Amino acid sequence: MSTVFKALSDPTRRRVLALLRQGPASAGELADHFEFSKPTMSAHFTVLKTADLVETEKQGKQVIYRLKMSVLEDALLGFAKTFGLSLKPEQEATDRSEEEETPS
Amino acid sequence: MMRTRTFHTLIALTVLVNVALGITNWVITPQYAWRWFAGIMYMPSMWIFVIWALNRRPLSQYSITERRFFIVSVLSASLLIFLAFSLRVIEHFDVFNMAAIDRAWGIGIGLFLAALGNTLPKVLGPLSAKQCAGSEKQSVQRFAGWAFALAGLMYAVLWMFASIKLADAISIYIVMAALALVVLRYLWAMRPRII
Repeated sequence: MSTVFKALSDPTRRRVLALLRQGPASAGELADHFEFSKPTMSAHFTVLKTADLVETEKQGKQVIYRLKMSVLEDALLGFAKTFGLSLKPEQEATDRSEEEETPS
Repeated sequence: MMRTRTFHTLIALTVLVNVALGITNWVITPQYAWRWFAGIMYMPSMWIFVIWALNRRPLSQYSITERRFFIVSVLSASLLIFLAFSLRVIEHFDVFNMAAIDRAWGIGIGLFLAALGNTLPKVLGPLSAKQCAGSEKQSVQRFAGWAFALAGLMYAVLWMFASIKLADAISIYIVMAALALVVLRYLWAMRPRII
């Protein structure tokens, strides 16, 4: 469950999940909505995948992402969005640097 | 994780026990013969379905989450029938306070439905990829999950706080309403569209 909270604590990842609520999308399409580098986005996708909130399928050269959230996780996402749940700034910075170091 | 053979043995055992309990109920209260008959027939039908499903795709080919969902669903259905059958036997012999058992039973069913609804969007269906139907399918799955989870919670709360008479009269309509909403949502998603 802590991996779920970690995944939902970041606004970028919450936005990715919100985009996926509209339907499955490719990694490229999702990344187009953000101004981050590819490795950063890739790190965000990895966190979401580790938390089992999204699943992927390879279609040719594309990786398609799809939402894989239980009702409780869905409700937590809504709650986090409404009340702006986030990690402490210093913890968030540590996490981000760890994610950026993770090879995609 | 459970092996296919163990799973089959477990199902066979639950079928035998439940059929035996069903027959006992039939003998005790023959006026509800049709009810016991339906219950007794359900178990072998489920067994046949499980054999058919596992012949098409063995348990080992499912992902861990799918496997867990499959096993838990089948065993929970068997457990529910076992409890329903055995409670009626207990009631007949007047062993326990049936009002308390009825209440606990209602709360249990509600929580089971809520738990089932909760996991539904996570485990349902293979990846639908990026087809046009993909988003619709995902939307129907999420709707079904929410509908059953909320219906389950309402069911449990009703059995927890309302009088048994009222809960008994209303609770089934909550489940039926959720089911009807899911069917309607599914039909809406399947409607023919002009491209």
